[in-house]
Amino acid sequence: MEYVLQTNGLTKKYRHFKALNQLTMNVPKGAIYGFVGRNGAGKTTLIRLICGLQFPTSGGYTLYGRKDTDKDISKSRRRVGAVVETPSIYLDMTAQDNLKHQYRILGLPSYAGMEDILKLVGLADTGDKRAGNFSLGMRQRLGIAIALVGSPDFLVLDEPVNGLDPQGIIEIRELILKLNRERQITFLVSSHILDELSRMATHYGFIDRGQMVKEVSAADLEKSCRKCIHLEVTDTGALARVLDGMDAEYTILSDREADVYAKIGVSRLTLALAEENCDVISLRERDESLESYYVSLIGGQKND
Amino acid sequence: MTRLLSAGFLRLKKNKVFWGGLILMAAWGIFMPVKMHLDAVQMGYVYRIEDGFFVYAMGVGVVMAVFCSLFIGTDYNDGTIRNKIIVGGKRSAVYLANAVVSSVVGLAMCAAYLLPYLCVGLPLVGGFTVPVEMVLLTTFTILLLSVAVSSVFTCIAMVCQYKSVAAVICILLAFGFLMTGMVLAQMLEAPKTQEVYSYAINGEISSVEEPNPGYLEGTKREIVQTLHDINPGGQAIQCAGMMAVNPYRLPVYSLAIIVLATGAGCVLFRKSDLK
Repeated sequence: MEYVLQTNGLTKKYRHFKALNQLTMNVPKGAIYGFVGRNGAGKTTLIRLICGLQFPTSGGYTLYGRKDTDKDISKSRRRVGAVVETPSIYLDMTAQDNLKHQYRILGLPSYAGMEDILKLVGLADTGDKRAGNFSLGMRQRLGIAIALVGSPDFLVLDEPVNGLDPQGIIEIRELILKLNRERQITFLVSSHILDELSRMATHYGFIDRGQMVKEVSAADLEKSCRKCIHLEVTDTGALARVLDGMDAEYTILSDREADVYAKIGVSRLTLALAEENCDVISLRERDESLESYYVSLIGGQKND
Repeated sequence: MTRLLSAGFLRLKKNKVFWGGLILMAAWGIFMPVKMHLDAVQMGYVYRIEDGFFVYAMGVGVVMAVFCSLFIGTDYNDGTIRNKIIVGGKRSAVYLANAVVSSVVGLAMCAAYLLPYLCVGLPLVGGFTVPVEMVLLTTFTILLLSVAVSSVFTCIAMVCQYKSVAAVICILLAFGFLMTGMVLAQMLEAPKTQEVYSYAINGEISSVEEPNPGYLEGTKREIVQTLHDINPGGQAIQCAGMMAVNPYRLPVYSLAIIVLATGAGCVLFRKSDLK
């Protein structure tokens, strides 16, 4: 798999506080990577590091195959756009002037495509209105528009729907999905609004206290979140034979545990297993959402 | 860096503080010769055009303190400095681009005073009575001084990431330079001797000229004079009154300030964590 961003043992200390602790993450090309964690978990710190705003205390990362210590890292950075925390816009300038400024920063020869970007983010009709008079959602979209100047391949959005009204949340989500589908832009989206992330992310990274707890693709997460019967038996070999006979989908988790994704009669299954000399130790139904997955994951870590 | 400069000048064109400063300096440049002319007509004072020609040296520091702290501070306040770094702008380039823009603004503020002053002053007050070399040297010294103070305030605004804190530090420093300059000028201008008056019992008053204990001599005088020459406020006071003791040293000190402030600011900015 080709990765846009890979971090390796990334650590950031602020005096005695470790904001990131040996964090390792991999953002595949073309993904919408949902970066999940509670407030203060280290999400923004990681984003600041990969955007070059701050320097790691130890460890490092590669951006488009270039190490952060590489003197040509700026070439990789030119392929990145980001909105870190609040949108970085001049409040005393119009949307168009803000974009023109970014065009100049990038050294683009003309303002070609500027109107398209403004249309894309729904700010084409703002005219002479200064960004200071924009709503929060409009500012967020202008921040994304600025990040889109120069056609980046990788967009980093830090809490993009924070503080937005429901309409604003939908607009940002639709925009992210559209850019990902139509322009194949890879996204790293940090958020603690799990329901929102679950509607667009293709990959997840769960961070807690500066450490990556788990990285999982949306497909794998969906599998583990699917409604299933979690079985603990004395012999999973026997269980597999019985389930194969019943044509049921299942996953063997260990020599004693398995998840069964089919609706099967418990009495029938127990009887069939008894014939194979296999006892059922426990059986429970599981129906996990991203939220419960997160809680069990982070809660589990916390209890460790 | 050209890209960042181009962006900086684009923003400058829309910046209210910049235009406000220019208008203020231009108004001052018009007011001075008009006031001199009116005083001459109404009260019979005799003025020479050079009497007010370099006065702007005293104000350019304060104007640049306000401009640099607000212009650069906005980059931190609105978070827009991040846009430059995220897309691969080198930190030294970001710093130097801001330093160049500030320096150009410093020069523009000087020009905004000088040009209207000449346009209005020459017909109203008349031509220069001092050698043209002196006028040119003092003008050059003040222009370099404006770049020097811009460098100092750019350094503060770039290193201090809080707009309001940077503004307070810069403005206090600008006045601090001037106050220090005034104190040092007073020390240096103290007369060598002073008259001591004594009253006799019969009521007669007699005076004796005695050495002034406050008069600075030797190494002490040299040190204070050097500090006065290095201090941008001291330079401004000397240039404004056209009374520089070491006129050829002042541009050298300004140049040293520019190099030191830009070098130190650049190193500190490259190491700093941006929010």
